[in-house]
Amino acid sequence: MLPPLRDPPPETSIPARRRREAGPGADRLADRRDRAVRSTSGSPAAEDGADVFSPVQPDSFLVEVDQLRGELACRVPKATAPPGGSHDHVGPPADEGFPVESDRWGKASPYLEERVNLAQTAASRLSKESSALSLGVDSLRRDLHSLDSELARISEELGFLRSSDEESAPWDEGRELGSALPGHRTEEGRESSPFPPSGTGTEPGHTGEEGPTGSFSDFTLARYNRTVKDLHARRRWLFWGTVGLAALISGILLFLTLRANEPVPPVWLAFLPLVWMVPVPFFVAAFRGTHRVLGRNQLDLPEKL
Amino acid sequence: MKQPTVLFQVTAIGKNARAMDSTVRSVLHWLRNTPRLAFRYLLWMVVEPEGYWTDPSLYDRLERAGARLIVVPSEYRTPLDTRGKGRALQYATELRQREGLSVSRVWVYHQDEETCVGEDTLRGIGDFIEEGRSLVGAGIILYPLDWAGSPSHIQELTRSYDDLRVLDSITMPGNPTAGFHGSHFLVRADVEDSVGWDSRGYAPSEDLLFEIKVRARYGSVFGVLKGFAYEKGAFSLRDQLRQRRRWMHGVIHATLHCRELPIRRRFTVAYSAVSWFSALPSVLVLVASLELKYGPLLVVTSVFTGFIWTSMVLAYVEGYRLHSKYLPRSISRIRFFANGLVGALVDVLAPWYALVTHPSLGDYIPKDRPTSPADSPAARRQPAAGTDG
Repeated sequence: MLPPLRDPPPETSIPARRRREAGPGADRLADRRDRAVRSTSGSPAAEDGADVFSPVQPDSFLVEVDQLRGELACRVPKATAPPGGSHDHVGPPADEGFPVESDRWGKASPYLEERVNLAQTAASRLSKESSALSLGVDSLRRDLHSLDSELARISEELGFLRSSDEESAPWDEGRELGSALPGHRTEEGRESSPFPPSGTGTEPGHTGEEGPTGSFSDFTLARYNRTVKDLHARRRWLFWGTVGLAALISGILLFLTLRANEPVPPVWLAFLPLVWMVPVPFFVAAFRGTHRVLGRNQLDLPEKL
Repeated sequence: MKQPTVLFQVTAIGKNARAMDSTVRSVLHWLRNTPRLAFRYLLWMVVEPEGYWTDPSLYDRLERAGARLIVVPSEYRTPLDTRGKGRALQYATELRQREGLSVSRVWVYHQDEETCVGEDTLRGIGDFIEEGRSLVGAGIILYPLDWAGSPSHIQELTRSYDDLRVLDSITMPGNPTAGFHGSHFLVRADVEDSVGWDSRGYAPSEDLLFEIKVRARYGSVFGVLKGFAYEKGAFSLRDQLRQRRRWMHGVIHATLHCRELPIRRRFTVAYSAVSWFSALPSVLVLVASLELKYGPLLVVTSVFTGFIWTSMVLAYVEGYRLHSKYLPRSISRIRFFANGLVGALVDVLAPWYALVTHPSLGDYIPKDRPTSPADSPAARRQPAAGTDG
């Protein structure tokens, strides 16, 4: 006896009906599809418009598509036999008692597979473009930050130039004299640099603290000031260290000489070591001069004016 | 107050094209990136024709970048027929006079083709001009460019520490030593142009002559220029020897032929040369002491020997410490010691080598590290020879 007819379920919408008609795996498929679509439109916050530039996660979408494809695989009939093989077999294989489903009932429509492929391609392209967009936004942010800091420096420099009460030199008209930096003029009238931009000591993040590279971009004010401040800091040590070490060496030599107690040599021979005395005034003057220069001159330069 | 102008003048034969390129670029780079420079600027490259023909495209590029190329004509003669670098410097002097730049608000910063500048150099120049206490400024030169830790490079470290002694000798009258740089000095244009660079014949050390003439005419007008300049040492011991030979010939030339040199200063310059000459006999006498017995005289000499040895070692140690923040590679202490010893021996020999040989006019020290056979000096001479012919 046939079971009694029951009332239709409350889900009467077309998608619900289709899912129900498709079978028990359809709900999971629909759920995955929904999640995949969400992943292309960004995070839930993106839907609220909180952060339209949040980077998408293309991997999650592709994972979802792969899972979707896996789910479909068990529902969509296998693809036809390998090329070159199927056409030769007219009848069923010798070891099987009945023909393959596809041969028997014809091939399944590739429509669904094709839609998934197209969707995957589109999603992949979309995710790449989203990534590029997000990189562009980052670049834009950096440019804005750079613009902001350069404008601040322009203001400072203008203030400095105004304070120095600049006037034009009488001979600079029509000549290449100028505080404007050289570079060829573009058609738009902007001055463009003949060199690629590079880090400088005045830019944030480049304070001369990095290791030297051997190029002239190393020669920052900060590095110079550290060098000369170190030199000044050890000036007293240099002075007394030199005197102390010299006294020590001389003491040892003197001790060895007295201990040797050598006889007085011929006069011509005894005068030979006097040649060692020739540069003594030079070295004494150099020692005195070095410390006088260091004592009189603070060699460091102001970093902030 | 009108802003002064600084003329960055790179004067050289011009054959070290890559070094010239770095030098000019360093100036342009730091002019772009140093805030609060209270001066206008000009950038001149004064080179010989054979230098230009070494790499015309590079010079053209540098011109487009903002430098002005001045090729000293082969037929140019100074009134006293000076030759060498002095001739090019004199040409630039006359050019400034013709163009109305020999005025008190123009300053000339002299560079060799391997004299790179930094942010500190430019700020030092600005500081010196702003202070306005001296007419000529000289400073300390470091040698970190292309540094490889070779004997000649180690020896160069001592020159930086010795610059402190040189600064004292030029700024403080009465210092019994002498010395001056041909680069990294700043001079007011009207002062330089009134003195000029002309002298009879070939002056191997035109910079020393210039210092003597300025001192004779203006008195003690020298000051300390803050900020380093950055150069490179000779690549080989042979180049080091030839460089020192030129210096020694310059000192001898100034002592014997410079009429502006007062007696006292002449004695100072001569004594500096004699001190250098005494290095080789000192070593020989030291070696001989292994066999000969000098007796009680050593009691006197040993008192000073400790000071001399300490001073010499200190020059290497402090020279290295001055450079330590700029050197991209470090070397072991053993290698430092061994190479320093070799470099020192070359300097010991140099003045005596100068006595028995003569520098030629076309003698120049390569500053471009050869990267291929085409960069070798022999190959580089080809275009110049073609031009001259």
